[in-house]
Amino acid sequence: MAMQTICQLHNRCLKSLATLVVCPARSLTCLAKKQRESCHHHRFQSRVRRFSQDSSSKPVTPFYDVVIVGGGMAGGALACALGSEVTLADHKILLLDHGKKPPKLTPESLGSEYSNRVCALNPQSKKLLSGIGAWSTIEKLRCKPFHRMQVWDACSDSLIAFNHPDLIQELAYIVENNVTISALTEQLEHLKQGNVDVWYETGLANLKVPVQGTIDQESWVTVTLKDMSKVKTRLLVGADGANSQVRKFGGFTMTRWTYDQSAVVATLHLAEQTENHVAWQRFLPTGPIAMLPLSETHSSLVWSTTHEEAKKLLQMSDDEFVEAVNHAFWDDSHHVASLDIVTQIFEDVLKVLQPDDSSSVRQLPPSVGGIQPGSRAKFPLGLGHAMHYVKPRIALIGDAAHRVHPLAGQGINLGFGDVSCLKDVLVKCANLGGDFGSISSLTDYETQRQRHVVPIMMVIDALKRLYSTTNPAAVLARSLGLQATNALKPLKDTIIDSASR
Amino acid sequence: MALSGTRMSWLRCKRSLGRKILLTTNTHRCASNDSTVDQKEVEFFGSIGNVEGWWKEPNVLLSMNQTRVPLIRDALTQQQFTNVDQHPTSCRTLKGKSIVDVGCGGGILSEALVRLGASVTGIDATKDMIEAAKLHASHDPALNERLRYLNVTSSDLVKVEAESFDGVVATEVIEHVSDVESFVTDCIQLAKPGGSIFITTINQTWAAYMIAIVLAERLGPVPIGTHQYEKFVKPEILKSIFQKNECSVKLIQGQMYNVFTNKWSWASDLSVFYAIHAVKGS
Repeated sequence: MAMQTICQLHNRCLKSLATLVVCPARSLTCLAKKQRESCHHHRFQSRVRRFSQDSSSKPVTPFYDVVIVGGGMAGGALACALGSEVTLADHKILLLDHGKKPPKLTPESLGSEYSNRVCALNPQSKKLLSGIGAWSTIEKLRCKPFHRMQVWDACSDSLIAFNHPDLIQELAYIVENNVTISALTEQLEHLKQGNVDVWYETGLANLKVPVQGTIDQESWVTVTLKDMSKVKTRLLVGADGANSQVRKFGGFTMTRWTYDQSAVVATLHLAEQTENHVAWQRFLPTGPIAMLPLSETHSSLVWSTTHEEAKKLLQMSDDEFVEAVNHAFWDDSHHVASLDIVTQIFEDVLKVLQPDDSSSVRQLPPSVGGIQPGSRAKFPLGLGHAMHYVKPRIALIGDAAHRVHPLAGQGINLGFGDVSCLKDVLVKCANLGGDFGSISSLTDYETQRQRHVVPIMMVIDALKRLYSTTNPAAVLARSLGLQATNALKPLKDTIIDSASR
Repeated sequence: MALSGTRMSWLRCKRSLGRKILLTTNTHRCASNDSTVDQKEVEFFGSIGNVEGWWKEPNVLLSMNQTRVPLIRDALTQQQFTNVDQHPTSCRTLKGKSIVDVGCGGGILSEALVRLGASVTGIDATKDMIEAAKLHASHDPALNERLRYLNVTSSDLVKVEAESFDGVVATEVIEHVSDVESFVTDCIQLAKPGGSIFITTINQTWAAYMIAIVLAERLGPVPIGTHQYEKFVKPEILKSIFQKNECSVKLIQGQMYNVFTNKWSWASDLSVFYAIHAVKGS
């Protein structure tokens, strides 16, 4: 043992001497680097934060195995997922968020007001959040499961309803975004392994990815922060949303278009208390309107419409707004009489073929009685898809990689899917002793996710387009298609299944 | 585009093998003092050697870690070998294990084993290669005192550190050695009693001839003369050397490489690439 150590020392001295003789300039830089690194190790052990300096008072650049930019739902979930994985216990993770630390919510602090920004979390997202320990906090705070979803057309009587048999199993949960964020923030503080650092109010100024695969210079990403301090990492993850800075600085190509639509959101008071376990969505020619259950007395509104109408909806009084919402769900003026006859006949035929199909019976949405003051807001809608989700040492997740129309409630679920997949790929890489930023392993993440995300995006985009028209031929085709799909149980089960993965 | 990338990496892989020959041939020069060195081959590989390209991706040797790392990891942690990569239940699974990587080249396998917690000695007779490996590792804060590179031959190491290692690894080296038996004996001598020896190489079959020589060299981008059929090693020969030296052969497993996906996987077919794991008698 002693002999081995002596050999080691001897060899190191010899190496240093040899390089000094052969190439003094290079060896000096090498030694300087070594020195920095050894100080760096010391920094980890003493857990001195961010602006630590070594003895010669040269600033030390912190080094992390993964730096996640964006502490939203996807970024926060990834940090939790990596921080609670035992095989990654010796890896250092850093989460950067430009915002302030989110407030810790309690059932009391939530009160009776609801946030107007909500998501429908599917069973797969619930599984991820349960795995990292955040779901129990969400349940303690506030969430509302729904068991049925009814989607219908404003231009005809056709409808489709989704539910599991006997309405026992939830299709998804409506959760306010700030509840999910609060649960993740709490979980980040309680990670036992202590290998995740979170820096709030820290923005990204620039990043640099050196040429990969060279021997004489290091290949890590250098992230420059807004205060001009630097961080180095093996892998930089862009979880910073639809206008991702990581995507921009990383030079990723993005395919995108705007829909000339805005989404108007609001928190609605129902006219009367109901079980409220159905999510409602109606396709109007101007865009889909959805009412998502929050409690027995409250629902959340997501109304996609033209920019002009959205503007009007925001300017009108609360009473006028409530009337507009009820009108949008109940109005039959877009119906084409001759088409109604056709769809009615088709419905009768289907009833003869499937006499006791109770699940597809039309239900009526609850009336809206009021609106939570100040809960109205609007934001523009668009589609975006990055050609690549990965580059050497960079990966994009969530809206930074793909942005979809909210009509199918898939946005964050796709993001959480990215989190699960990237975590699995990194765990696999770590178990092979690999380098997290290696493009060969990151490509596995990209391939798996694009196979899943691209078809879903295409279906959502196609649905949006199909329902944006009042052309009778299109209305007839989509109405019959919807009715037939509704009658075909195996097809519907497949849709439920794929929407919950 | 993808294909040409893979071709390049294959070329680099073979170039790296060139470096390893320098090691193995030197080994025998030192060990036996007779000329087992094929000088022509040394010159051939020396002329196409490329230290700089060693770590570029896609990279056949780097992707070979997909099979050889789990093989070494699971064998040294006493886990049953399976074709499917099992996830360990803790980080640093190889903590406390000492491994020598004979013919480490640029350190692709050595670095991976250090990250898994092992103490690794990478040896290579080519000075340039060892310097490159050291330089590459010096940039990585996770590769600390548990990694050392030595510019020595395996027989040099036997003289000072015989029976020192839990694992002795020689991957993609032995098909270029002119005296297989003395090379394998060196490896066995480096292992502790009860330690493991891992070798991956190319079989001496018509299929290996077709793939490694005809497809890769005559029709492909690999320089003609990289491989010589007569130097390919049949698994039975390795098996008998191990048995002669009181080692028990635990596993002989085929490997397959998919050019299009740049992935290695285990196979039952031994006819081209294969791995062998033996345990030294205690």
